[in-house]
Amino acid sequence: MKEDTIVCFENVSFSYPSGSLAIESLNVNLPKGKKIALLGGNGAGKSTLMLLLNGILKPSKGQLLYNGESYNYNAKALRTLRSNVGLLFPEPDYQLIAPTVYEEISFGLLNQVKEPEEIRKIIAKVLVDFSLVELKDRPPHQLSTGQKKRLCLAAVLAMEPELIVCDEPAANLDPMYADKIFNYLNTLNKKGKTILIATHDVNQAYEWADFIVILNEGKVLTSGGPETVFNCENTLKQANLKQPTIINIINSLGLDSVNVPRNIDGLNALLKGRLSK
Amino acid sequence: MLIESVYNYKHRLVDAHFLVKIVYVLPAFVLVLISENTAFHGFAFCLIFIACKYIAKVPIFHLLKLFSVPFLFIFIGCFTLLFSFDKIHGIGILDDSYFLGIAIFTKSMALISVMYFFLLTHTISEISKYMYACKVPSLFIELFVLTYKFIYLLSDTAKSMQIAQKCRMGDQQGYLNTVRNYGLLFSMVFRHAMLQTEQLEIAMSARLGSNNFVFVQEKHAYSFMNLLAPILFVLLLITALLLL
Repeated sequence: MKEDTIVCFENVSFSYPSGSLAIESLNVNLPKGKKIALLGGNGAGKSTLMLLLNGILKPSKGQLLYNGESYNYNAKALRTLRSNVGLLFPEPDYQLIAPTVYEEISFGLLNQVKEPEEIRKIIAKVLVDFSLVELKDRPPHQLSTGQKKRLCLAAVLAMEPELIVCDEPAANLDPMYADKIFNYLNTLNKKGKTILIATHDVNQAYEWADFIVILNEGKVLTSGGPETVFNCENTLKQANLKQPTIINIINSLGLDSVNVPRNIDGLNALLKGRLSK
Repeated sequence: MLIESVYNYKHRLVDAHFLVKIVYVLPAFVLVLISENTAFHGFAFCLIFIACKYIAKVPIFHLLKLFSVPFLFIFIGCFTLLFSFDKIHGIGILDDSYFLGIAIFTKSMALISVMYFFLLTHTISEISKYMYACKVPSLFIELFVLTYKFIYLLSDTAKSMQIAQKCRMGDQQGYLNTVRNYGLLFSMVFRHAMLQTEQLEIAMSARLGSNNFVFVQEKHAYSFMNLLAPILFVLLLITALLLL
């Protein structure tokens, strides 16, 4: 295992009680302090992998290492693990449990055995950071989807995990709220947190991530930097994915660029540069 | 109409300590309950109705709608109390039953208004706080909070399923089929509830939760000055009780 790895999957397999094999002999190192995108078609094993990361599921075979130490599944070790690995679910309604926004944020913190006064200070800060002050007395079920998602993220991040795992963070969100969520994630990454998202959106993953893992039928098809991973069209097809639009345009136009742009602005600059020549 | 659909989260007591809020409600409730004075009940109803408008900041139209449901039930109940029947005189209204009907009607409406004021100025968390203070077993309080959450989850699920069923003309296949379809709908809603519970448990575990629904509430400071308004409110009620 490399030193800059936060979580290492060593030959991990997982089967559900029904017998279906969700993860099969999976080996992958998740780099520390990076923005990681987990891609794959439906049923590829993305959600199972995320539950394995948080210790909700225990592998049937193999082991996971967190900062070089093997996962331990006793109650005390799980508490430490779950304090370090925050998990954001795609459906906010299944994650929100408290009667008010304020109390929702307090739930995880209180379970970390913190003093109520200390918790109140953290909540006050989180409410401001996530623009939830106006909503603090509201019941979560009354909020809009975007606000609910923001609250879920706030509730997880209040616990200050080292690794933040988000399953479809932008699902059911309009582009403005999706951008907001990714801006939060970027800010956290700049503070040194490792962020892992599961998504189907190859364009988002290409633009945002530093490291890509592509899953197919519970196995890692490929992993690495976005430029390398997304260049291999056949591998993407195998995982029911498409090439990101930017790479597609560059390939279609026959533009051979050393530094393939990662976003629309970069593509515009490249095209303008070529047209002016 | 649900209380929550008219609840104003910017009411005047939003930053008040829960003990300050209860000074408005508890004495009013006790005074209305022990008094047999219909004029006082009428006064209490009017005063609390005004409080619902200006303290809970609920528009009059919504308040009227809110009061209309219990009003209807209480009115029908009390109206039947007015009539007496015997073999000699037949059906008639006696003085006693007339006064009894009026007394029960005014008392009930006054109590309902106190209850509405309580619900329109308290969140579920504050109500659960009172329950903890009254030493209600935590299991019941958790059940109370969970029921509150699941009512909305289930009603949303049921609404979406009903729309999906209507889109496939599930409600236009004759009476028997409609009944059968609604039966299936309810069974699906409950199955969905089970799935949601499972998901909720996973989400709670991910945030280090066990099966305890324990939260931290915001702290509101209180001083004697904060108590002035509710004390004046109660004094007004006591004066009315003594004078009327």
